[in-house]
Amino acid sequence: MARLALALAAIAALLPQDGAGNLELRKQLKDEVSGDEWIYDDFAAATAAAKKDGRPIMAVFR
Amino acid sequence: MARDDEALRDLRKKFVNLRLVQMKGVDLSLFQFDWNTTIAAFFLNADGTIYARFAPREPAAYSTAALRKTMERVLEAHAKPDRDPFKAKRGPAPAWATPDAMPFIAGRMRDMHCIHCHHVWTGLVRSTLTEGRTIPLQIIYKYPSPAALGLAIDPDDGTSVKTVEGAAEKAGLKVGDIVERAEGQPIFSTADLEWVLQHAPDKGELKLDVRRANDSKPLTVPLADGWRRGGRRGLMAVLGPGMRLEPLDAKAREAAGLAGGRLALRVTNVLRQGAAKDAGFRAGDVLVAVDGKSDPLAEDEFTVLIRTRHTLGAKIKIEVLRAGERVEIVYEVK
Repeated sequence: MARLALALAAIAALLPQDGAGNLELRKQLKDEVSGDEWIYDDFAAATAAAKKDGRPIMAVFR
Repeated sequence: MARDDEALRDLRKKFVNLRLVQMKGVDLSLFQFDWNTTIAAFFLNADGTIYARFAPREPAAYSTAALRKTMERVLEAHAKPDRDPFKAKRGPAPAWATPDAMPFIAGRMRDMHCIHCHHVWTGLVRSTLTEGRTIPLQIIYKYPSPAALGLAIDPDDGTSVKTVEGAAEKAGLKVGDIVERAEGQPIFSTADLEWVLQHAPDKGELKLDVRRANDSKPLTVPLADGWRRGGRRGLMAVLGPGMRLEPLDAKAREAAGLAGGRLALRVTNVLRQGAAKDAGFRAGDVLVAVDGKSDPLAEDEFTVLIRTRHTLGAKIKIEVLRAGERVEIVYEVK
């Protein structure tokens, strides 16, 4: 269990630092260990990112 | 669903991935969908153009293959400059800009930490009723399944016709057809077709463009009065009359001395709190007339009658058969 916690913490450190709330959310959604990069509950940030690099947005409601 | 699918993970890198975990502050002029689905996805341009919706409604529709195809179709469209075909994928201006602006949510739910998708329908219905309005069929039979047209779509594709009957068959659709456009809107998923159906008239016609072999064929599907009911999946609990009803079968009718072809709905359960309880309904009562009329009704049709014709506080006289006697109950709409 301690090793898992350390692994999770290490992976979390590699993810974009966006606050303790999102880290907890990522844990609950199991996003943390998958290496996914998600923006949480911030459509404005998603729009800005999409404008910057020209990608479309996939907004998932869950 | 998507986490362990390599192809989906690769596709997702081509998108900005946004999770909207709760509905507080969500822009309802943009994010309109069946808020009762377990999971839903919007594919958008940064300028707010909606390319597609993906919202599986039945277990069979939770298909990574269909999701992959929707994403591929979106990427293909995103690479082209023309956004005009997608304009109608944005709905009409909502009555309330955000869920938390709805009077019911702002009042009764103001202290909740988060608002979930399904709360939006509850808020919309309760706020509409509080404002003295009835509930339209478009909300009661929301986001009709393509079954309303006689169509079943391949769940692993999202646009290919799997079976066809009824109005769609009469219009000329065939198994294997690809529904490319509905009312001029590009169709990338079954949810896209359900969006078009949500905004189709209660009576009229629906224009489709289908691809068959290498040809594109325009087809027109008639929408007869009552078509929405054919695509229903079960009514929202917030609309319910406060009791469960089931029609009497022929044997039960005969035993009760009720003629066929007339109203005979048995109350199977009365909710502990609600309009039916307050009015005095009991399990076992058989509804035989509503406001003096005995036209036969199914359970959902009884709800439609109440919600489309009566506003909050209206009093409806309902005659029931109880232990062999006819009893009049005054039902106040709540």
